[in-house]
Amino acid sequence: MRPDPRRILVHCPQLETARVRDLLACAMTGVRGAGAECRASVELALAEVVNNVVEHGYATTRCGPVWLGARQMGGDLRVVIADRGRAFAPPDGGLPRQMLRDAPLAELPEGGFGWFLIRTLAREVRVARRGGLNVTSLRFVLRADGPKGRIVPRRVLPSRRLRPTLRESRKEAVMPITPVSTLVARAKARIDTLPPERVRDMLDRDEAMLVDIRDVRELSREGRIDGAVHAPRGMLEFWIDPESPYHKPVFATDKTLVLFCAAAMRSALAVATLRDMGLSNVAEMEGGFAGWKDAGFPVVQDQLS
Amino acid sequence: MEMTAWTDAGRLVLRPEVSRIDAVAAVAFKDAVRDRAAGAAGAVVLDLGGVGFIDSSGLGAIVRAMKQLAPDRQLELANLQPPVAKVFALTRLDRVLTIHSRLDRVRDGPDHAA
Repeated sequence: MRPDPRRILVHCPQLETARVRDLLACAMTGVRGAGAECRASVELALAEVVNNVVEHGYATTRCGPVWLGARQMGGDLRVVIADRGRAFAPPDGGLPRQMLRDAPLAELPEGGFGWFLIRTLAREVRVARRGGLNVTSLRFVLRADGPKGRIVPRRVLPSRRLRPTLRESRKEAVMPITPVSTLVARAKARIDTLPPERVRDMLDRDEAMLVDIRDVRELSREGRIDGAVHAPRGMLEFWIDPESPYHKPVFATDKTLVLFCAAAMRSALAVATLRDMGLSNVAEMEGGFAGWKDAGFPVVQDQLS
Repeated sequence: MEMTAWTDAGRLVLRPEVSRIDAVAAVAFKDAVRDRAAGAAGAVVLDLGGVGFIDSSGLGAIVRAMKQLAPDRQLELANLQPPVAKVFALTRLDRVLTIHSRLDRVRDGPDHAA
């Protein structure tokens, strides 16, 4: 008889605090047979690990990829959580020392319970650094309800030592995707958006270069802005990077690159990516091509051939 | 954060209408307690009957709320669900806070909701 471990893998490409609940809910669907109290303990320990990853591992961005693999054999639950955050050494997990004596209220800790809870609720905890990843392994013994609830029985004895790895997982549950509107909003929060009038002034003073990132079919259908360099979004990074074999010298400029698309959504994502590449002289035009037209500035309609 | 408030035997009772006080909710929770408690006097009782999950961020928010009310006013807890009671016991916060096993809901009716 072959063992039939329940396995689950949750991958969250951009985990942030606001999505930890989704991740936990997703992970807990893989835990079967445990009583409510036991499930609550598992969920709390996982929450503490994942919150630490987001708040401390990804301290600067408060956002990053997290993988969670779990494997259950009867009452034996092993969970592996991996992240690309900075390396850390987990504290020994004692209670904050103020809790061990009658400290006055003002000295009570407002934090520091996380690793204590993890170590208390899980049977085993290990943290390792492997290939740029923090790998936190937890083991739980699952029990049925009640203070002396029976350990969830093993229906099948494992034929080999259980070693959960992310790669081994057969069943993958991917979290609901981040809406593109959220991506655009996040991008806009960290880039410059210039009104068309301002762009026009910069063009007049030779301080800016307009970059049209729309699809070539949009240009012929909707018209274009005279003097704008067309760089479809698919090629943008490759044309701009001087080290890329596709680099175009027109982008080697001190002028501010002002990107636009049809309505300033794609341009927000594109500018954010260029910022990630290290470009500082890059912005988007508010309202995109439509915004330019609405401001009363001229567009060119090429003859349809 | 939605929080129902009423007075009961001279105490201000606050009931957060959420099922989780976790890292996402902690700051809003602490601010809501502070805002609701402002302008009243006496002890504040948190009715956690609707809360099934508290993590260390939630604990931190409760400790911070306690400190904000001190030294004149006390923060007390009531109606803890078993998983929540367990977290308070493990961290020994149950020795610092007054915890009522159940709150007799002899209420004057919620004064103001939301």
